[in-house]
Amino acid sequence: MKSTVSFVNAYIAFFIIHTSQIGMGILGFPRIIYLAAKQDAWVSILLSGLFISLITWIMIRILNHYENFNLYEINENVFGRFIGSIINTVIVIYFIASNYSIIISYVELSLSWGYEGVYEWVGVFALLLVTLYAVSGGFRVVAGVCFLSFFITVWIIFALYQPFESLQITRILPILTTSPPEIMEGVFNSSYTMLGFETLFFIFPFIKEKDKLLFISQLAVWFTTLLVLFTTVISILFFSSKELEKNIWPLVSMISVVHFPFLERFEYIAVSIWILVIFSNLSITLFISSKGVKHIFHVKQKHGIWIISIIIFITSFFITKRVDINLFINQIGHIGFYLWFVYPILLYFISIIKSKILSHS
Amino acid sequence: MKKWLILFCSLLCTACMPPEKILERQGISTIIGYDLLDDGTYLGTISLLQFDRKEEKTSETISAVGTTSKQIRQILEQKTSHDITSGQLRTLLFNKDMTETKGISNFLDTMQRDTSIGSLIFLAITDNAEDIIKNGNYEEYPEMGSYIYQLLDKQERKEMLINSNLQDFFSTLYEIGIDPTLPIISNKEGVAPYINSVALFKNDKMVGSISLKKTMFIKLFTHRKAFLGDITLNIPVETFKQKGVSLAEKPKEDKFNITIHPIKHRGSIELSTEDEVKLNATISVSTIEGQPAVTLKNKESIKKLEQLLGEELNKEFGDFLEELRKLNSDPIGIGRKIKSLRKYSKLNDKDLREKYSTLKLKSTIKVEIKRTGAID
Repeated sequence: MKSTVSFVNAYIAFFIIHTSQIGMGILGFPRIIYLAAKQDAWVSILLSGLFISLITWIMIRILNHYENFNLYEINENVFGRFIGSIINTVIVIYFIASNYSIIISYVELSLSWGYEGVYEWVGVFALLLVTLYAVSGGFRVVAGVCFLSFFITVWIIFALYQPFESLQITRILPILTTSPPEIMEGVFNSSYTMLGFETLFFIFPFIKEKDKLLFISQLAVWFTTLLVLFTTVISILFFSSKELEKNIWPLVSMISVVHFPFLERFEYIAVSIWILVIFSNLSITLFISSKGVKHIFHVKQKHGIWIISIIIFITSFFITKRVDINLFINQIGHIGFYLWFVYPILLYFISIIKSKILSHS
Repeated sequence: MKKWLILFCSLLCTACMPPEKILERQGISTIIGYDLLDDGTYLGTISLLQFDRKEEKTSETISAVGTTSKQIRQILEQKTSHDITSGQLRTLLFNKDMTETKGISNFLDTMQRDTSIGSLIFLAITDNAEDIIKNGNYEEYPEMGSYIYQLLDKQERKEMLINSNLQDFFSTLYEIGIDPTLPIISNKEGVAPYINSVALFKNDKMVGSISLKKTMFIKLFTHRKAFLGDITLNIPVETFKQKGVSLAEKPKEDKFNITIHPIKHRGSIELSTEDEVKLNATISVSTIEGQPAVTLKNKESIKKLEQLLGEELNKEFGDFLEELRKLNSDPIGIGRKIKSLRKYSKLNDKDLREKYSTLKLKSTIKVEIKRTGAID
């Protein structure tokens, strides 16, 4: 490894993994999972959490096997330069697309809540500039963004105490009436929200105490699962079923009940603050994708950042309608599912087989 | 490079502000009322807050006719030089005809869609929304919207009214097995509008109305934390004698009047057999008035009085349940409870209503006298 790599403590990984999981997805998540799994959505979330926890364990096993490599290097190592590069390109495209989906969905949200009439590209441009600036600072800055964004936004959960008064416990009853296929569909549909744990593959070389990483990453993954579980259960109890199926961002609609004597429309604050939540997502995805570009095409990371930002900016003119955004996010979720729920397992077995063969010969 | 980037960002961020909003140019709407006209179109009336100090009037009301709420708004914009904004909208009034014949959910769609409208605005029903908004009597408030908002808000917090804001209405309207309720506001020449009764709904159509007092029976089962409102009972002296409750002095009239103040309550709905529902409720009260005075010292007589009060309430509750069933309206949420059982979880709205009309409803209300004030 080169000496320029900046190291961070293991606990920082908690914030990086957690904040890259929580993002735009969670705002609309209760509805998406409710459409699939009805009132048993919580089962889907728990199953999905369990699955992610397993995959995180597998990821740590792979990473420990290769010590100081990130996924791009592992791919090349396992599959060779040519096939490895193809897989890496797919991963880079995935991260660019995921960055893109976050940007356009946030811009859509902020245009619906208060900034009606502003051009989409203005929002995209502003977000891209800030992200560009953060990522230019290198990994330590990105880690710092994640750390800060966690502490600046985590208090929003406590604002949910007001909707608590109108929860109806009967709405989640009777439990376990949804059929297993529907629950599995819920697990499948939850992927967009739960994705983000894959960052572990790329931040691994930067972490100082690698032996602690298994525990820390499990903690992060389960914290996210519980947070998602909490908000989903609250949403199910708060909204009647038809209402939940209608709202695009149930969480924002739920927060709109929150009011204080000095502040009547809390949801406007929440929507604005959400920029900090997605800021960490954007930084980390841009960081990872630019690292991939650097690795595949041997260009400077700085140039990679600019190239990707320009690509995202230009493509942002193409998808601006609600239906298209919805479709796009679904596609990202599905691709993400195969890439990060299925692929690590495959990679794990291939790397085991390969090392067995090598040790034999 | 870095400095330029920061400078550029700050320029960009300030330019992202929405078109400027100057207070004097805003027509802040606080209340909107809709009336159904004979030809099927709607008359929308709006009250705008006036900020110009030189003007003596603090508000202005304008009306317009249209088919959708946003069209009405568009026409309203033609009639004022201010920008009509709905961020401070507090109350929506609907005309009774409209709620009875057309239903109001069509009109509420826009309220949900429009993000500038909060979900805490109140909904209410009146005979004629235009008359109410144009009524000049609104106590010391600057205009009608603020007055009605305060009226409903106060009543909801500390008296006998069920939560009636947009969020509550939607969540009961869309839930299978429970129907919403809304307050009815009445208007009389020369006085400020007042809350008269509560409207019962079947889906989004109004089917009947009940007195404010009876909302207590609904709250008993739907809102655990809400205040029920003081309960006044007029019990014939005869029944007292039969039960053997001793009074401190002989009442001159033949009725014994008592007012109790509920402290805590708990209600449960249970499906005991296939077609019998048990509605059990316990209310802890303190007695705040008795005419004539009654001495509540000995344990025996308190117990008997509790029993008596419970029975009286139960009788009223039984009648109330019958009334609801005749209207096939279910504000208590019996259907919702049935649907939450595994066996019936697949029932739809129609099946539930059918089942509701054939159910046997058994109610018991227990009263516990916890405190008696400063005297026995």
